[in-house]
Amino acid sequence: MGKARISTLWLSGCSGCHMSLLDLDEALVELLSGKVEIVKSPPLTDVKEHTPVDVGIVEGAVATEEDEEELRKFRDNCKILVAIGDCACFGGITSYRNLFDKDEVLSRVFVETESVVDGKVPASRYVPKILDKVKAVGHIVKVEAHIPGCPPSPRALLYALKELLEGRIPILPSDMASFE
Amino acid sequence: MKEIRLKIDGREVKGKEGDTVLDVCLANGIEVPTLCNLKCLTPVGACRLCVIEIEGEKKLNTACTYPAREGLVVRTNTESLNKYRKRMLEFLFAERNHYCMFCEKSGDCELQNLAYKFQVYNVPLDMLNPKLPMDSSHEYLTIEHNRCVLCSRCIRACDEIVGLHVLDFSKRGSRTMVTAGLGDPLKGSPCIACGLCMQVCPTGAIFDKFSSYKFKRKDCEKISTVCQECGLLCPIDAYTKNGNLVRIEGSNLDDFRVQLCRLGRFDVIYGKPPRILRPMVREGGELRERSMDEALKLVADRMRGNFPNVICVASAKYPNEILELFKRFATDVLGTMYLDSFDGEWSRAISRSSQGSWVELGHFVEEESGYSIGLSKAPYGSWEDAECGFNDIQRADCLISVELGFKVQNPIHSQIRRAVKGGAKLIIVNPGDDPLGEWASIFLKPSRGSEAILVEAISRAARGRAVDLEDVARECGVAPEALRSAVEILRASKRCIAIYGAGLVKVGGSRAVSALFEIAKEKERVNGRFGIISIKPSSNTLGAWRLMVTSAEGIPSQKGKGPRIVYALIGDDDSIDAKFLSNLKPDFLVVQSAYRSPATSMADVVIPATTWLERGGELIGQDGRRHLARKVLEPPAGVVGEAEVIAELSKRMGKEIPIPRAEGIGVEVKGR
Repeated sequence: MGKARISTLWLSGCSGCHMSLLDLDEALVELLSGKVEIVKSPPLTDVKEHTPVDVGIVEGAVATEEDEEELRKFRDNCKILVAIGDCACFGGITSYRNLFDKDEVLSRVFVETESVVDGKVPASRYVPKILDKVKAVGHIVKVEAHIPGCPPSPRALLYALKELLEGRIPILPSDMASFE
Repeated sequence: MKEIRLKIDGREVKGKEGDTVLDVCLANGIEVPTLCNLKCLTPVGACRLCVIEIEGEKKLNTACTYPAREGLVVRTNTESLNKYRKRMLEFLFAERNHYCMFCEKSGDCELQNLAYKFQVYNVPLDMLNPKLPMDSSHEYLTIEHNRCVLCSRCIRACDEIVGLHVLDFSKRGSRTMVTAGLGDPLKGSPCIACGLCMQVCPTGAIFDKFSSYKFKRKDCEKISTVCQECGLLCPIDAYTKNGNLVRIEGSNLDDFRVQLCRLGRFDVIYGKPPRILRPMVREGGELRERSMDEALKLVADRMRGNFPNVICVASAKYPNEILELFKRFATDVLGTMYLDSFDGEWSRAISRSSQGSWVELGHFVEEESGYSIGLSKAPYGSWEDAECGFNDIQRADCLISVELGFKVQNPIHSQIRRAVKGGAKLIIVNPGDDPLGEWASIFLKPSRGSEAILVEAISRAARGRAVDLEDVARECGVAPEALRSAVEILRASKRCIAIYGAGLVKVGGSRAVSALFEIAKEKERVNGRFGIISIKPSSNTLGAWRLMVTSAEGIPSQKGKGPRIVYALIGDDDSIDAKFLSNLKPDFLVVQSAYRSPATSMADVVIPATTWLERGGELIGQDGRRHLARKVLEPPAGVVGEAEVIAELSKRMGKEIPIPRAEGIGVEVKGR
């Protein structure tokens, strides 16, 4: 049996979920030395193109046009998509801006912030535009499994990975779930 | 009640007629998820999580509102039901802005727990993300509408238990909001800050500013005890974290006292005045901090050789153990005749008013704890055995409330409001403003000092004696029509309960109390007792009376030979009148107190004392029953327990008296 090919994607999130993945510690070494091959992952690789993988793991909410485009490409390239963390599952902290209008948010951040002098909302076409509302990953594409948490515990992530390696879609047991 | 049999999830179970399906499930250990149900509130079926399938019914029903009946076949735990339940939770998460990671309730939240249980790991619906306000105008409470699930527990608690109905829903559908008053900020509403809404809230929608983010049940130690702010002795759960008090909750949902009041729920944790932490001795007219050794040496030196002239007065807020020790100190160590409690005047007046009257009741009241107080043994009549209880207020068709005298509104006011809502007429006699004023059928506001005259006149007139009401009305400064209507209401009533506070006793003494008692005697008995309730001034007024710490005769104001020494055990009692102490004409005053007060500024020696949270013991409450208080906090550094101080003082006087060994051992309540 070959190694399972896994890619991870970091959308609008704080990287905490990826850190939690790294917190698997020796379990990560064990996975990487036998069963798993990481194809593309923001903390480990600098690969721009998406390549087909078995499992895609996504952190973060969909907040910008770039996020949406990346997510769709990523989805097209993975057999199973797993959303990890509250941002990917529900919208999380990233979606807190949904309580305000987009223009209000941009102006508060780039113009009205106390430390800003002569601020302007960025208009360059190289800066991705933010979406009207932040969405969870499941609101844009089909997701096979959700592992919530802010961040999800390494224990929960390891459970999910092991289930996937066994060929099952992971359903996190209630006692491993945490929304904090 | 008739027994019924039904089948739930394939099991034959029994219930009582009048039960809901949920009642039967809970009684038989069948778990049904709920969010809006609370056993002390009327079920409304708001959250739809307790949906069940009933054979023969096409639609789903809510278990909390569906009446159980003979032969019913119910399913509570099918795959399809759990799918609906999960969907309901998803709706709740989509409707408002729930962010567990910011929420102070996270970890103790009923919504969160259900989301774990039903594995709500994403919300497939569009999130509404409504813009909702947050009301933090109130001194203690914050309403965070973003986390509200519209379960209406707070609304029902405020209406059904507190009787105030400050909170209700406004608007409709998904725009529904919990609203105080007519859309006022909570601060400007008639809220009495009892905090019950916060206690029943299943999510973090109503929280207390002090305990928020500090309080998680699993991180706290829970100590079940009674609140000793007044004689109601509400059962409370005190939560401490690292030795600090973070939260107080009413511990028994079935008890109307679960409501608590501002004093017991918030004021004890939001801070009291600075404590006295070191003994003080008057030197050159000024109180100066001295060591405990120096202070006690001075006290012992002054007391020695002056025994008969020492007057010992204790606050009746202290538990029996400390009062008993204080009594032993006075009688066995000092050998003084002068022992009293600060509630002496009140207790003696009530006792005189009841002399002889109670005996016609003809039975002894067996208490739950298994001991009884024989009326015949009581030299002055055990008035408390003849009074009805606060639960009986709901049985009355007429209530007379005379100057209840509480500092804040508490569960007694709520009981009265609920009785009024149930149709009882309320007559208030109070020379000042009364928090229940707007609930009264008749509000008589006599000029200060004339309330006793008014009460006596009402009593005579209500019993058909000839009274010139016009004359009385003029004398007391009340409207004659109002007085006449009050008398008519009283005449027409069958079951009347009079509730009076210490103010009436102070002005009218035993005569005014007897006048109320005469009305009660002519009316139906309530639960076998007389329709009369006295509000005892302190949390252990009855304990002090029964232990005979409260003197039957009072302290003579006539001075004997030699200097007069007064030892006042005040503790955290903030109702002590310094005038009472100055009337004793002390030549040397020792005050044991937790806080600075007019009494401590008169004192020659001040010794630090504990507060009620820092001591355990047994108290006899309003209801005449024994209640066990447990120690919640350690006293601050420097504060030595009263028992240790009294024992040390005894040793210095040349006699040793044993200290009660541990909290809750209790002392035998003998005597009255």
